[in-house]
Amino acid sequence: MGFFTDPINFLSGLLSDLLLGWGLSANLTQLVLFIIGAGLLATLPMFFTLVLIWSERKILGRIADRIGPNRVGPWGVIQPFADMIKIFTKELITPAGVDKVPYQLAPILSIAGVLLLWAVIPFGVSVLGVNLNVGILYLIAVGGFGTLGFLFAGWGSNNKYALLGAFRAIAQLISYEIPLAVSLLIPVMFTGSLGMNDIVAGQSIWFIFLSPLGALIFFIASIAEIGRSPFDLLEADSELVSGFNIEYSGLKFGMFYVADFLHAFTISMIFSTLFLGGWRGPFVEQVPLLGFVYLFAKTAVVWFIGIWIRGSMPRFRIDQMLNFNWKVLIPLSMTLVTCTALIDKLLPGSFWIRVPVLFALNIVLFLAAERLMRIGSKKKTRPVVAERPITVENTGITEAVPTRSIGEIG
Amino acid sequence: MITSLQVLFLAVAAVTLFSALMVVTTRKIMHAAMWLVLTLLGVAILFALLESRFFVVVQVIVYIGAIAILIIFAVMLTRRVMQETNHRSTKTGGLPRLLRCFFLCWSVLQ
Repeated sequence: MGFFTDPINFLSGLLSDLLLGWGLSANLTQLVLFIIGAGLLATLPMFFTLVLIWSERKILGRIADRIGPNRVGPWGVIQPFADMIKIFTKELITPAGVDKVPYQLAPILSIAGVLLLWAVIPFGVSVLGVNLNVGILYLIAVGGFGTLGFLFAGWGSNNKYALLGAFRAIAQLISYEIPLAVSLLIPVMFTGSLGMNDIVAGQSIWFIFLSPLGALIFFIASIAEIGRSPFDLLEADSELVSGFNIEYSGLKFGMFYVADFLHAFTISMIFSTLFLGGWRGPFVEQVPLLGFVYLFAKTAVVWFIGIWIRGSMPRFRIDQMLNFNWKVLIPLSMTLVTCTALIDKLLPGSFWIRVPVLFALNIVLFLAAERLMRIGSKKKTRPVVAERPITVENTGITEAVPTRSIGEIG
Repeated sequence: MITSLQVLFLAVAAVTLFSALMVVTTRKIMHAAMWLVLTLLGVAILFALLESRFFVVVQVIVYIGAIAILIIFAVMLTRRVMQETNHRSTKTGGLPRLLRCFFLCWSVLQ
């Protein structure tokens, strides 16, 4: 095991030998290593966010036919550092009448909800924070902290617009957590384990091929969870002034900002872990370092598709957003889980039967859902003014107000 | 000799009990809901000290992720939640309340 093939385990082995050589007990050495690992795992993603912000702005700029940040450093790579230093120097304003503890706790909770996710993501065969045997449940549980952060921010700010923004955010987050959690069950059923590393190890064929529809549902729900376009009603920048976080300034706003950008990347990483085989790839057994490369490459692809959608899709209306979740995604994901469970159990274990049948099942369910959505959307034309009789007082004649449909206006 | 694990347990148990007490004694209903979150988190940590990871995670999902958020949501929709004046129907002084708490603890411990 050399430095170049497996640096993390090499360094941790070196460090633990050193500490044991100094006469520390085995338990204490373990504790020190855990603390260093947790510190690194919590700090490095924050710095990585700087790269993320730069590349996201650059890609969004290209999509909008601009060049994006280009003044500070070559291709503007130092721009996020400049932004970071600017945000450090800004004044932290605490508005009058805020509820102190929730107000201060909210940015911390919202970024903790993202960073805690990194604890269970496997980066290699043996490189992961904790090999938690309930990793999937942990992912859902930690998501609750982010929600709590939004609630505290909205309520603690003593501002009714922040409160309304928080309501909007929570309505979206809580609703989309359901299809997210249900579609998480699909990899769990295929591997028979809730541990993240077991799920990666079980993907001799990527689960996106066994369940493309499950992957799609997870992807849509995850975009809604991170509040990106087309689900960005949380802080629709153009028509509402931000949302739950309007009373925050300086570094506290920066924490929400970093949490937002990092969450997008983290959830892409979870997607590639669950559906795209995580760190799996050729020669990964010999050179564990390649696991990082594979995972980050897959994550980058998923993350790029997310930005692509963000840059090119219009925003949902809030009723469309909720309808889409409760009337399409949740029934579809429930049906998918039920059908997958039944068919996967009934089928013989042979590879060449199992994969095509499950793939076909997903396609059929997708087409059926698409068909049903089309029929549903054809039926309703939403009238702007409801037809109602008005009575003219003198004559008693009743006449109808002409009905206009949305299409005529827009 | 008290081990470090026992010290940790005592600290967590104390925080949990204190926040549970605050849930029923604090004047603002929103704060009560927030103290409840801390109580439930304390219970989750107690599960963690017992090395039952599944219970920890389920406690956080079900109680903090769902029930506490639902309670906070419901509280936010009540009237005059932003205001300080949130009087209880029974107004009692500090001593009767202390006695009540004492008898409650005593009856639990019996």
